[in-house]
Amino acid sequence: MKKSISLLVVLALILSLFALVGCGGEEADDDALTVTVVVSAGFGDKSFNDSAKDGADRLAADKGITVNYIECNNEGIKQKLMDAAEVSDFVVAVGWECYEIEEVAPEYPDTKFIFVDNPVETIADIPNLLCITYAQNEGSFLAGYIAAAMSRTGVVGAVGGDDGDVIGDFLVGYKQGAKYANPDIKVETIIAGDYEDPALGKECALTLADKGADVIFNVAGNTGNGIFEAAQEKSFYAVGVDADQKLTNPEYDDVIICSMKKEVGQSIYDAIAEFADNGTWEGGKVLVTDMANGYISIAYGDEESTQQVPDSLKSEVEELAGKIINGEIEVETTRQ
Amino acid sequence: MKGILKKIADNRNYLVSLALSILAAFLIGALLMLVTGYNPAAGYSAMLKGAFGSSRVFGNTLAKMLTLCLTGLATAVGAKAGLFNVGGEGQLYLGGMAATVVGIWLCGLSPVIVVPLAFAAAIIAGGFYAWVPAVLKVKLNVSEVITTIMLNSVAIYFCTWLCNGPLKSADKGISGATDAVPDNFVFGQVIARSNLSTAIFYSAVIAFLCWYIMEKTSIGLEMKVTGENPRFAFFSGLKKDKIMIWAMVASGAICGLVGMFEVYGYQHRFLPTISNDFFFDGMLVAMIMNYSPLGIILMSFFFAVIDIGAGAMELSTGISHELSDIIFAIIIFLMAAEGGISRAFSAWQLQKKARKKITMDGEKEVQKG
Repeated sequence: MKKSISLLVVLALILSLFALVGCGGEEADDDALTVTVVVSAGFGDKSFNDSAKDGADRLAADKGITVNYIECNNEGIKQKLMDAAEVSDFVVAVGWECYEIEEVAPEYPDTKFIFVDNPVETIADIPNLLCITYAQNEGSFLAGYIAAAMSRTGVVGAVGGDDGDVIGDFLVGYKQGAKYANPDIKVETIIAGDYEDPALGKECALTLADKGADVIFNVAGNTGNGIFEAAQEKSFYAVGVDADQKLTNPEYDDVIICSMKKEVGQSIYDAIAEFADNGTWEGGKVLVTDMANGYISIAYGDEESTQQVPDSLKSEVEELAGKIINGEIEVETTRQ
Repeated sequence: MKGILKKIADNRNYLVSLALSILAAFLIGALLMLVTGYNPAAGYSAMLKGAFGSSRVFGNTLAKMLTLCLTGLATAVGAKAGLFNVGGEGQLYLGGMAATVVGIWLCGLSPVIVVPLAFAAAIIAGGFYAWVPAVLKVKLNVSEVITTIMLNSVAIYFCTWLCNGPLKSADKGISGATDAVPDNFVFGQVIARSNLSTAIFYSAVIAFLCWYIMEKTSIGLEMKVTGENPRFAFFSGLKKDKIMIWAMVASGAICGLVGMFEVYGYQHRFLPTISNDFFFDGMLVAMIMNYSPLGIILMSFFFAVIDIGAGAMELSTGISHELSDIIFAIIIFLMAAEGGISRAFSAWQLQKKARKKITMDGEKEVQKG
């Protein structure tokens, strides 16, 4: 009997603790904008998804915007987009698996949607949806150029995340750039078919290394982080993607020679900040970002990073970038 | 009604330990929320709101429930006959893929023809994929646990290859998925905007059949006898090999249908990520409920509420949705120790009874004296 009474007392104490905490809840600021970032997979890839998160984080810090995140882990994405739409002013969808945004956005006309990387077919009819695409082929051209110039074996490689248009766009640009630097170069590519598996990425990279590749381009998100590990083991070079990976992966500073920076986060930041500051919103269209407007570039880390790429090559790359911007070099694309 | 009451009375210890496990899991969950600086009351109310708050989310809860329930029943059908089917994930993939292929290839025909064909394709694909390990088990005594779990990877990679290779959709913005099944083939929505489709009615029929066959027919009894003691079944003149194989095929067929319901119910395309280990969640539900069909149906609802609610909880309160996994894990952990717990519980009860008796006897003696 005594025991059960003491148990009851403990229970009552625990419950009262809940009640106490309940009183201390803070009220959210109703005027602040709410942004919810929905990623089809998860964060932690140190490239594409994390870049989007970084953009949203900066919105929260600079503009006082409330930011939520939903990691779908590839389950129930459409419903999670709706969950987000019901509580947010802006929903940012990251990852091609969010394609059902095309059906979700018209159902929630008061919420604004931003879909990065892939345009949807009926975009013109959805005024509350903005699709942002990136001219990754232009940056990849430069990445290919650097890779080919740095290669000693005459073989460069790339590991892609899937067989879609966006990754294809990276790869055609990369190949063209490599051939531009050295017409005899061999470009080997592997499609990993997964963005979340660094062990698989490592296997792919080792396979490419066996084929002689000594510079390998990561186009596979978190899977690609395995490439860097393989690069350290077999001492070859790697090229980062989306973020400045010399900075996001400082432990691999010695093998990442440069990164093809695709400013997903910045583009999200700019679109939402524009609305927060000036109230302007241009939906119902595809915003193409490229090297000319600064969302695509080659990054070599900061002053503390090791610089493997010689300055002469860097200035060549800069020259080429100018040629791409003014249209002198036309980079192939698979974007539709 | 009487039967149900009797059943409850028979399984009293089991049910009490189940209730205690669930309570303990929620208390530990609450403690975790407290430790991480959140308010458990707000967390759990957000969870409930996330599962019941609107018709859309309630529809999602039911849709999740039917997946868990069917995969759980599929495990139970096999387990009752003594075969532990761990390959439901692969059967689900192949069933879903077969139904999708039928839907895509036969576009233009009437849904009256195509949808039943898709059902048949899912059943055959899932059933066949379970038949292989069943025959290996019965004829060659190859452990079905190993074969089924290995065949999962084969099926998943095969389907991933199909999605990225021969069946890859050319639609804009789709990388690595099949074409969509035409709109006139897919199931109608029962609750607008939600994932709940008419698949719930088919699922109800399947669940009823499972329960009826397992509990009310001689086939069910034969399965049970075979599962509990194959030698006894053999010497009683039961065709135990046949029973085992067909139970496994039925288990695989149900999983195949779950795959079809995923595609025809709401995804409409076959993505390599069609199932996020749905079968294993269902399998756990079945194991927690001791493979009782009725228990699986009830428990899958409970699990669905937590699973769907956890996502909404994360969005509105910031508490990580992984909390749902922790709650499940604790329930499973405690239920695995159920035998010990219920023994301790009955020992405690006996002790109480005995103590009561002693005091009553003592009082009587005092009165007598």
